[in-house]
Amino acid sequence: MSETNFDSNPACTVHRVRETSKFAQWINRLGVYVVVAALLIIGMAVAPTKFLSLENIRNTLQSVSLMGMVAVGMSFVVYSANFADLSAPMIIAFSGMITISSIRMGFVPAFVIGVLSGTLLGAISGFVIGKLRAHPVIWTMAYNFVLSGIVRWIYMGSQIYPDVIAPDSAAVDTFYNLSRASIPIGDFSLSWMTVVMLAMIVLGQLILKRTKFGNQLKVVGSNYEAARLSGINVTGVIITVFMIAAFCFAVTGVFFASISKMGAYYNGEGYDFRAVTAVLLGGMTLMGGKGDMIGTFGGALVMGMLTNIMNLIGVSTFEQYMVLGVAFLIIVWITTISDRKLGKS
Amino acid sequence: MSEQGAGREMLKMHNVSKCFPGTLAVDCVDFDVRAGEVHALVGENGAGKSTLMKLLAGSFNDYTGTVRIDGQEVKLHTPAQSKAHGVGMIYQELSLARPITIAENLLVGKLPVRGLFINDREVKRQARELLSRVGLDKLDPSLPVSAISQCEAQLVEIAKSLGDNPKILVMDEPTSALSSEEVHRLFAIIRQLKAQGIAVIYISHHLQEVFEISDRVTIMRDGRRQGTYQTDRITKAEMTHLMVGRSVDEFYAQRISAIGDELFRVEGLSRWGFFHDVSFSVSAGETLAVCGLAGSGRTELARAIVGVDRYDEGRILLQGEEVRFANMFQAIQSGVVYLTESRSVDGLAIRLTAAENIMSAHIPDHAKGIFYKAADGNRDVQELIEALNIYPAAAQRQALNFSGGNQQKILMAKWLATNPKVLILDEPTRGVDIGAKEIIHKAIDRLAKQGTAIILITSDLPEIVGLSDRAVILRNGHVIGEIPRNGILETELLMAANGEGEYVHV
Repeated sequence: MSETNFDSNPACTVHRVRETSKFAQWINRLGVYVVVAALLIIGMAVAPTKFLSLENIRNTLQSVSLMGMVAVGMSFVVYSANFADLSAPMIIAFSGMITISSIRMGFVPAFVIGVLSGTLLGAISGFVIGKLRAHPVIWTMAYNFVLSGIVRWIYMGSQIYPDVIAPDSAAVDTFYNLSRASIPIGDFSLSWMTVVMLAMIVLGQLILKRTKFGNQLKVVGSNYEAARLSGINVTGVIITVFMIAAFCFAVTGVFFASISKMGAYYNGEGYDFRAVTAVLLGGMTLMGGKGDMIGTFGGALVMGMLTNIMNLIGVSTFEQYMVLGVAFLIIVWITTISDRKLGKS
Repeated sequence: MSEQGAGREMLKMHNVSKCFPGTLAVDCVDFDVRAGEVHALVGENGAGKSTLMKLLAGSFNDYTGTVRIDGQEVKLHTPAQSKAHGVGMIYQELSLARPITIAENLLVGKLPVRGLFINDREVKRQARELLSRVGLDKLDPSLPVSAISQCEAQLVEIAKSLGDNPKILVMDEPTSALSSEEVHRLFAIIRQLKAQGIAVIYISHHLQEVFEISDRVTIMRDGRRQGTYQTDRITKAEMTHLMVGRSVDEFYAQRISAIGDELFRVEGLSRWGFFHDVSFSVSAGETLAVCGLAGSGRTELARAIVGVDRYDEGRILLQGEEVRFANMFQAIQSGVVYLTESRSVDGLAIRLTAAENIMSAHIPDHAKGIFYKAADGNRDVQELIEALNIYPAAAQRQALNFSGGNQQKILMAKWLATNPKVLILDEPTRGVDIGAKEIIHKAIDRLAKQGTAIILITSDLPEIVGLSDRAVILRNGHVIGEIPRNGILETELLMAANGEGEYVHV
């Protein structure tokens, strides 16, 4: 018996499943790199000589690097349909400060301690959200607030400086160099920070697409209940997601502290919002289970290029905030529409 | 058409049809109700009763046919239009907000105000008036809904819809949560409403209630009307026959099952409040049906067996060894799998592709250490797509772009891929067309022949008749009897689910 018997009934043509619209498909396939190309053209138009100079490219990549690392971590959270980890700013600040505090133990131990403590902070979020099923946005928002209180209390609300904690130490120099060293490639040189970010993108992409965890995460992000009833350890998956995210934030935090040569509770401010914008720009959706790290990289590039172009044409920081805010609203609006077209029937 | 006050034709639906992708849910149905009459609507699940009533409630804007209310032709394309024409709906699930007061629930959207403020005295007066119409004169309308009993809440729900002065009141399984005493109270209220000249449409699976309360009864099957009768001129047996109707023999080839050794046994399993002291066993190659109405605890039982929900007492034996699954993963690893009732809620990840869905339950089996490549499962996926005739045979197409029947086949494929020893199927063919149903049934039969023990939970009686070797009857969380192969007839199953017939022992 053929399947299509019932389709021949003329009264039944009304409610056919609609194929996705051309527009939505187009947005999905080319994604954010259309915007990257557009910004390249705009950039060359507004500052023909400066924009494509090696100096400017290096600066842009440098500024993209930190946000890119945060965005990789944030991607895992968005992909798992847990919206966003709003505790990113405090994890960034906290791990930087821990690294500086323990810099007397030498650079490598301090780095490891800073990153590990940040990751542990993420494990707590993972437990509360994965096991106790707290709402991710509410929990991470409150968690960020609590962490900020703790950090200010520990350090009495002041900045800490590695050269004060360990004067004339080689570890401090290495720490400063971390964000300043670069690898020469011909005439060009790529900073370590950029290399680390690119490595995170590649590794993140591998985890998402080629591991057992990544493929199970996709099911969890797409339908939590179905994943649970498919024998997937949903609690474990979500805890891992928040730990990976916090790991990325913590690494960012150490680099950030190295750039600014100090640790302070406000070091990560604004990174949560910008990272989420980059991730959504990159094609992931708040519904989860969609998109990849290549897209996230594009999203981070767009954010960096946008800021760079605005700097080149002399847009003030305040005005930049408005532009980024409006960009975020437009992205959320577009992705919601294309989600609705692609998603729930 | 009689034109006097009582007995005036309040609703006349003529030749109405409504279709969903792949199925004609309501097929050229005529239906009418008179003022002051209770008209019962009966039929098996999927017969089209609910769709017909949703149509009346204004849920669809693309039905065909004509609807007349009180003699006037009307369009019911939105719920607001239906309401304005005097259609009141009372659903199985209550629509009351539990934390707020009864009065606020009753008068939601039309709270009397004085200037900017709510007129408390008037709120209470109006609420009292509505409550008195359902015999709840003594209930304090300022109590929160959470403080009253299920039965009272059900009556408050009725009072709420009376607030819109409906000419036609639809009750969809209003007694599913009530005790027999409460049912009688509800019936007294329904008789009062009748006396007030309201036309009542009453949907129920409980035939006893239909005989007690209704004046006329319409029987539906496969989206068509099988007949309308004066309730006192039809017997239960005739009604059952009309509901079941079709000959099963043409649809199901004669099954020959090779039943092997006992594979799976449940002893005295209880989860307080859901099911109690449930025992049964299934052998390799055997299909055991769990027969019971929705709400009899059958889904809860399945979920407890596979470790999704906990159970309080009893034990589960797989091949003679006691097992207790802490989660679904352990169950799947031991070969006990559960196809869930609702494919869109907890069955499929609707936005992922067919292939991803089919592989989702056994990613660990294809993983090499921590690594896993989706493409490794392609051969299995392709085989299953062919075996189950999934159309279109596009593994990389999103599940949501398949028809309901094919989505259900994808869900079936997902569990077949895990090579189960014991397969629990919960409504494996709900809402799918005949073609898909046949393919799924063949797959179940094939699996049984390979020695899988199958536990079939379904409201589809022909399915039980066609597929199962034995049936246990579950009612209100208790096993009340067992029907052997030769006793499995639709009429017998329907009676048993209602707690009657020769195989019921309690």
